[in-house]
Amino acid sequence: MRKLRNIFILIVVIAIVAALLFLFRGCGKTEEKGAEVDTISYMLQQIQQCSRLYVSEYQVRKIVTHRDESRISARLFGSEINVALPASDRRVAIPINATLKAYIDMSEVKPQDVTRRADGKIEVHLPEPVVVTTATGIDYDGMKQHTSLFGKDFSDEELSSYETRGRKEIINEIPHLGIKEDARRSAAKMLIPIISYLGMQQEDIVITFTPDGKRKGSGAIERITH
Amino acid sequence: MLRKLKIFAITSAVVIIAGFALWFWFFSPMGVSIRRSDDIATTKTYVTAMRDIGQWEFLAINDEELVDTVDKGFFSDKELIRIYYGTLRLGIDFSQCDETWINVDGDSITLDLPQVKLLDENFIDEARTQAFFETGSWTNKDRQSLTMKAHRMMKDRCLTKKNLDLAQEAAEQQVMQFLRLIKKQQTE
Repeated sequence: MRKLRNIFILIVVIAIVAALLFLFRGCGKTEEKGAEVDTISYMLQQIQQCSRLYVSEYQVRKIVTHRDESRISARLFGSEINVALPASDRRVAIPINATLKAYIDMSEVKPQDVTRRADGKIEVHLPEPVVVTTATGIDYDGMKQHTSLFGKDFSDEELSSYETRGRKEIINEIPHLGIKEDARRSAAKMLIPIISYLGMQQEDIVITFTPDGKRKGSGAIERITH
Repeated sequence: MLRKLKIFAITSAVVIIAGFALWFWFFSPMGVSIRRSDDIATTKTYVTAMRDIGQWEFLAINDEELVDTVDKGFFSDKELIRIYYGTLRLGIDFSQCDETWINVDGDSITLDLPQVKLLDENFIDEARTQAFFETGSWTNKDRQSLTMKAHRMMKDRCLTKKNLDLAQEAAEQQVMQFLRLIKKQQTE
């Protein structure tokens, strides 16, 4: 009977110690929140009136690659252990195609931007071309994936994350692709014939481009005549 | 007395060992975790094609669609939900205009503009797609089908008569406004 009582006391003591440990563990940590998602923005449709004259279209391609393996990392009495799990590596290569277009914002063309020069030529001052990414697509046929025996398949979330980062890199590289220079030439090539329909010789039309931030009819940097 | 001491010693030892074991497990001199790298590598961006175009956009519709697919299985169903983004651009493609779309008679200008249309069928920003929910495993073909579904949904939602009329009205107004600016300088 006495023995039974001792065992009972022992169990109670262990339970109290365990409960206290759980309690202290809870107090020591801040509450972790899951990623908050703004559900209001879903299914949003935004209509915007604009006046953009697209003059050049570029198709570009980038391949995003990712490679990883499961690694067990552990701290044992102050020393760090980091070991790769065998046959756990995964690889993926995602080709991303993007359509870039250069446009002239025609809503910025004001009456003072169309002038008649002393030599009788009509001069049209246009804002600098702007380059935007109008579409991106994943080349699923060209996509390659490899998962080893103990590797986990890539989740949709992981793939989307790599694709989004690839897209960002494409956008960051736009200034180095020389699209703006081409766009100026294309804009002139497109607008001069249209303006000539009004009864002018194409030689009498001059298109100039004003640098960003100097849209008051001064500082034209490039003149293009037919 | 000896027996009591013995029980006390055993009890104390068990409590100390249990306490130490629990502390060891929760407060880590040894923590175990399985990690994967999140790094990506990319190739340089290559231009694969380029061309001159003449498209005047008057209405841009930014759309987001929550698109899902369910695969019913014998034991359980699996589901994939993604959020797609796209911008549908409505305007005039000048490659469809011949030389007669502008008629000038003295000071008056008459325009015969074509109907505004979707300037590019390729309007989904697929690389911006967000994964929202996934159970089970899905193939690239499944994702491709979902993208096509999003494409159809966006067209159905955005290419309404109201939006097309709005774009057509803006087209006539803005093209005319630009040509009048030129004509005014020409005749002055």
